[in-house]
Amino acid sequence: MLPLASPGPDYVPGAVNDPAFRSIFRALHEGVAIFDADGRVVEINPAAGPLLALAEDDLRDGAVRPGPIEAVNERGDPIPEEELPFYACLRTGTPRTDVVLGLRGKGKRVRWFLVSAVPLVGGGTVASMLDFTAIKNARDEIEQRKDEFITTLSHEMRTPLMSLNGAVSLLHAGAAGAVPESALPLLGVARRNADRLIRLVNDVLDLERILAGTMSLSLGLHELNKIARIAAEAASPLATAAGVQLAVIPSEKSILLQTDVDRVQQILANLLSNAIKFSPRGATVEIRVTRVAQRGQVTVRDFGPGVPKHFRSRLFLKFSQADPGGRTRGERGSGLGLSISRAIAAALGGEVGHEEPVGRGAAFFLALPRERSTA
Amino acid sequence: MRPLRRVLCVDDDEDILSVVALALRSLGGLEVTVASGGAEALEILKRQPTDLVLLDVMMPGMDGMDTMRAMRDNPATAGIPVVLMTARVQLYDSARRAFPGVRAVISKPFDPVALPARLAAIWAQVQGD
Repeated sequence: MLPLASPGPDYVPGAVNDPAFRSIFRALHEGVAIFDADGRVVEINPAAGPLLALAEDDLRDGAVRPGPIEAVNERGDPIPEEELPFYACLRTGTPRTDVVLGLRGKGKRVRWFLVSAVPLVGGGTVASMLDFTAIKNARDEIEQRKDEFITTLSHEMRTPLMSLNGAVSLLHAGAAGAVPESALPLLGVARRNADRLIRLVNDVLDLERILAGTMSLSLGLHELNKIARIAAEAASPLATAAGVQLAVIPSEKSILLQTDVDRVQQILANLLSNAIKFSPRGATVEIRVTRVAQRGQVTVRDFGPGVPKHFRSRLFLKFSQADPGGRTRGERGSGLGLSISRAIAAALGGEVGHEEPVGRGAAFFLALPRERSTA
Repeated sequence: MRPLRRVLCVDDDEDILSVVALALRSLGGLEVTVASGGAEALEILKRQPTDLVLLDVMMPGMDGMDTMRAMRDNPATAGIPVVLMTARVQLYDSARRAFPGVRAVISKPFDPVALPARLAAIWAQVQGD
């Protein structure tokens, strides 16, 4: 039997004393620590040492409360101590599973742990912690190499693509003499696909530039309702071709932003083109402008099939498309539009996100900080 | 206003050169000379009157920037307007500061069919200045 079933308030330190069990406990690659109801460590194995900065020997004279733990999440934001899984589990009595904790060591290097905590009968909690720093570093490096590879490839593809597209486009324009009628559709196919490749390559390089922080911004004072109206006008040929109406619903008061209007238009063009693409003929796409606390927001809502549940977590990942088979109408995208929009919005101090709409359809918003003087 | 007539295209990529030259000759009715590098371009500029230079920036050996530097330092070529062809449009401001002859940057990849009209517009602006 496991001797640690109920450490509770009466738990005696050193209770993991079955010799065989103790050997297993110590040999685990996964760190395990048992906390009493007061948040003191009563048992710890060697693998749990680095995270809690405690060793078995420290517990020789009784339970010990770990020193302050400065942990961060994957984005680098600090995690308050009461939110650390073992303390949160103690406080709430509910399990916490697979929480990612980064711990900054002395050399500034972060070690990464996957931590879970479950309550014990009679009080206390048992926490497990897996050091996955090596895996995470390897994964990050692969990710970085993949990005570099795609960027290099895209750069290299630009020149040949331009020649290819240019040659086809000149043939099509009759620059080399009249083209037989029967060849025109084939040239059309070649042109459309060369165009698509160029868009893809440009999108990859655009995204890379934004993420690297080398995108130059040209900031100015702009009004959000006007921006939304211009975006709708720009998208109207696409909407008309798709038999979709665009309805701009302005905010009551004007909303001023200090922002790069061309980049904002780029984001809205992307959201609108997605909304139009997924709208059935005859439907309306709503473009609603609102003030939300310190931010101005444009929400683009369509009445199409909506974003499938299984796809929502991947919406903003590179090259992900809800409809890779291309059942939507019009040009197939690169699968980079939302990643680019999100990266630009972040560079502008804002956010692009998906909103659960009430009823049918999909809703995406762009929120940007308002100019303070106009609060 | 004198119309644009003689254009020198400089690019190390032969295919780009032939596409651009075809577009300018056949759709724009221009007289086009091509050079595959900066040194060759300067040689051509010495012996042949040229209205405008369409210049690739990244080339092995003497690149676009070196070529413009040499053009600027020679009174015979300092006044010839230059249009850069590059994937890096952000170069425009720095290039414009260093070389007043730079009139525009055309971002690669571009559609050669639209190029003659584009150059004509730039030329009109040059004449107006």
